[in-house]
Amino acid sequence: MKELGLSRRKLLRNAALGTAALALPVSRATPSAAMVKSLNFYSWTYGISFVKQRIAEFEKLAKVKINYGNTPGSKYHDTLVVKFTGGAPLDVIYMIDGHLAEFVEAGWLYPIDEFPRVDEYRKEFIGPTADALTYEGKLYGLPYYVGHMAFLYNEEHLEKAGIGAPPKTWDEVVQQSLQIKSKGIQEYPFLQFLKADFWMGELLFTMMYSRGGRFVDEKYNVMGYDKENSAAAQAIQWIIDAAKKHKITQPGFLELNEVAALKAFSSGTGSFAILPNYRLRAANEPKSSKVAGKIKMALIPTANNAKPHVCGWTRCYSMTAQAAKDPARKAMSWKMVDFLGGKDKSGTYRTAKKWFTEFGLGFGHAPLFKDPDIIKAANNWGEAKLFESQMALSKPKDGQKAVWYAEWDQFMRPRVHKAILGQADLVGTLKTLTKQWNRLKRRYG
Amino acid sequence: MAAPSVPDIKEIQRYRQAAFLGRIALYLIVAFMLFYAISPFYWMLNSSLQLEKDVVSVPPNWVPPTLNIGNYEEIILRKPADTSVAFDKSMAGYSTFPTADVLPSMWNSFVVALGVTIINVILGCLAAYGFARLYFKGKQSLFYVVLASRIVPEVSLIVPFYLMIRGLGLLDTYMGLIVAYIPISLPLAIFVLVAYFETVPQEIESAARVDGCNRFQTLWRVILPLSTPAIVTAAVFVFLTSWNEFLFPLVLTQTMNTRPITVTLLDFVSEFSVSYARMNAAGVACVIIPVALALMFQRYFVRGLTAGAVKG
Amino acid sequence: MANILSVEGAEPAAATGVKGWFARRTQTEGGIAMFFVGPALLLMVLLNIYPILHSFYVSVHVYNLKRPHKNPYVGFENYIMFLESEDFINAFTNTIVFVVVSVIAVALLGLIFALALNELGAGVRRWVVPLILVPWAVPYVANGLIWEWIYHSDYGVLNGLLVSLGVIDKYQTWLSNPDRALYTLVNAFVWKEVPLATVLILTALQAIPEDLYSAAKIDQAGASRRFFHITLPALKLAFLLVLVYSSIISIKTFDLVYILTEGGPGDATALVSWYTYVETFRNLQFGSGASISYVIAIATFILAIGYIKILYRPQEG
Repeated sequence: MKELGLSRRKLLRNAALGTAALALPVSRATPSAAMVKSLNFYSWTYGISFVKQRIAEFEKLAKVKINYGNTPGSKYHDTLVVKFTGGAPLDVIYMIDGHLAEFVEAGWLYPIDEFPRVDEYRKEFIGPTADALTYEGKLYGLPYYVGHMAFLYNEEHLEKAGIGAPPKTWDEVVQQSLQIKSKGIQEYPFLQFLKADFWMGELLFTMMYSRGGRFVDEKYNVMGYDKENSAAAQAIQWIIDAAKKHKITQPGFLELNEVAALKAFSSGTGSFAILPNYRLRAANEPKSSKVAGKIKMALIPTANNAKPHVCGWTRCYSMTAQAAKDPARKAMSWKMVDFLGGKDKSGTYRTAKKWFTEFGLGFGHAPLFKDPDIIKAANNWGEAKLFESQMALSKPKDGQKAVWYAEWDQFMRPRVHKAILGQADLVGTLKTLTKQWNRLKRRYG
Repeated sequence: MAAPSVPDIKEIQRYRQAAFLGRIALYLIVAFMLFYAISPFYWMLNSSLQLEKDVVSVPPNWVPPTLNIGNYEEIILRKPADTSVAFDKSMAGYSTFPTADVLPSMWNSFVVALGVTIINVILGCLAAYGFARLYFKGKQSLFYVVLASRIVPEVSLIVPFYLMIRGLGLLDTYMGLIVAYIPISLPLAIFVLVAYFETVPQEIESAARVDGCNRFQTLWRVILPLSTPAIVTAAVFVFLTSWNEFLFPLVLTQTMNTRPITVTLLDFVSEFSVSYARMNAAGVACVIIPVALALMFQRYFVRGLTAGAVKG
Repeated sequence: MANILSVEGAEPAAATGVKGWFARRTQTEGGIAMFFVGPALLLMVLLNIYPILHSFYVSVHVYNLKRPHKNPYVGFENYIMFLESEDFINAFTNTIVFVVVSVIAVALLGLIFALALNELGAGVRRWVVPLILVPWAVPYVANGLIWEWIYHSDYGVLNGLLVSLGVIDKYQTWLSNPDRALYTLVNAFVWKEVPLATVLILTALQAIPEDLYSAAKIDQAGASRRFFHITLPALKLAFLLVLVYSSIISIKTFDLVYILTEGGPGDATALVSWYTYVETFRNLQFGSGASISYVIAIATFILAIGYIKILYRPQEG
């Protein structure tokens, strides 16, 4: 109680300072924040217990009631589209970087550059974060977490098969898988998930990046994506071969989603898996994982002598345009974004830090790499060094900030599925995807 | 084929054999029918009564190895077993099922479906009387217009409906959902009732009219009392259609004030792989009331639908 | 019919104002009818007309939420565009297969079930009918859940059952198998729609007067002749209902796709309703989404008319 009272006083003082700073350019914005009785916050369902804790803390500090709603991640985009279209009340929301362009163009988000401390935060963003959250020069949120696809393996399976070190190339993945398979340790050593949802892009980009491939450049020109032996073609061909030729991938992988893949991996199915990096934490959690302590991460295998690049992403807390219409609401919304995505009075990114230590969610703030608690936690279920180096090699999806990206992504999913199923020619599919990209580019350009 | 005059013993035997085989075939069909209809439902119930670790066993457990009512406890007591961050962590961040929302959203579904049922049965009876008993210009085409008005797929009506409901200030209210559901099932109610009303003998009504009843009184005192099966059938149809509605409430409801069970169920299904047992328990919660209603009132259906299926 | 007119007219038509209007109205049967039919009709019109007009308006404009300030009128360009799109053609083909297979399965199973039930003694039937009605009461969302769980490639009971019966030796994928996926959807649909079809056909069967059959027996008509000459003609209306109803419902099928397959694997289960959804809420192309709906609506309407024309010839029966 004492602590709370103190922090509230401090926060109020901070808020007052902030107000003073703000009062000059934007007159009478913050003082009215107190007039806002309630704020509407919407997120996808992950770690809701912790989200609710933070909400409760914020409600006490800011003396505001938070109307909190959430929906599963797989329905998040569509639900928000419906809500925004109909003008449902939303003030602060989770955002996916890949949908930023679309939502900004639709007029649903409000840039946060004008607020104090934003510049300070921006300086401390890690590599891809600032870029991921910026659209046409404006910043649209503070990071909730930063993640990337990671190569995980079951150390025990490798040992049993007499394999000394995890694979460094995709060819080695095949060899080691066949070795594990032949010894009867696992029927399908390479656990793959490729359901046609929003993870599909992240996965395919990872497979492509790790082979040195690119999709488009900064000006959205396609870069050899549809060439005969492009990295993209190799990546998809590898997936096809893994399933059909080598039979190292389980048959149902096209309907398997990310959570199901994690669940399978934690139950001891599969020796290798590509999963979001924070799943390393879950897979080593004794309460839910049968293989806790045995799951390790390695740099992503490569081909063509490429660097071990993976696809990364940033999720953030954003303020909506409707919140910004009313100065009081705007001030309160920023307060909440700041509370969740910024530093607390002691100068630490408290929410982001907690997300990492409790759930393994990566962060978008460079100073946290040096935080002893973070290093300790990272070493607990992995290696802090490895964590940092793979993070440094993560890149967002090429072209994701094109306003038509999501539309192209939607177009891509069934077609790549068909190529994998053998219903369509692989290079022909990549040509179709390229053509569609260029068509969309012309239409929106 | 056989001459009726001299019943040959072989002929009779053959006939009996055929009858016997026919009987067997009949019971096989009926058994298959029952299996087909009931087994998926049983499977959901069975899975909902198992522990999570039993649900995912291979081969599956045909009956729960240990009976687990925990999933229902969570629903009825309106709280998940554990809401701590620690537990959430152990569930890979997905521990928080909306178990607390199941009962309230069942209540929401119930209130809205009941509201629509009352309104549509009243409106349906009035309209059906008009269509069945009164003459007016363009009756036939109006009837078809009413029946056909809902062939535009819901997907494209969502946004305008949303705008309309919002314009009426009914967003996130029971009334908003009721208004949206009325046109979905009203045509069906009218259809069932018209067909039935037409079978009520004209003479009974004429007698009532001679006794000085006006049209409303005739409907109220003569037609309706004779039409219980059709009214019940129409009511159950409307109720089920409204309870089952999914896409509209997905869009039209914002909070737990109005969110129906079908939409709450979606949250369980979307996080499908996290807890199959809980998902199935929520599924049972979603179907229990409509199934109970159908079972309770099915005896009216045959009579209630006869007119529509035979006479038209 | 019109002779009932004379019974009304208790009040003179002299009064004016509201009361007079009411009096004049109640004088003709058409006027009275408006009091009965009016409220329902008014509500149907009010609640349908705005959404339908609105979505028509949207369908002839470019309505792309990603460019909210550019909504030019484009006439029927949206219609032409999607009719030429291979995704739509694929969805359209899938829908035709889905509808045809589903409707035939519903009608056929409904007929077989109804005939079987009709043969049962009334005592047994009283127990069987309610039980087979259960699937009909299950909401489509729950229906999707039930089948998703049954089809599950790792833990599904379908696999479990088939393995233990020795039909297959290894667990199979159902929903992600492009050759099966559409039929898994059909099955979930048929499971829910068959009960009502069964009851409808059963009611028609039971309404056939027994003496028709006795007469036929006396005429020494064989069982098959009795079936084709007495039973089937008597079921025509019930069939019409089943066909029209299940066609309309199946064309609009959305919930099942949404829950079970999201159009996959590949685009094997992308039905037009799903395509419309993707176009509208994923691609934010509200204009072309609305235009697709119009085409679906018109196609449904033509189909319904077609059924009525074929099966409902007033001269017969």
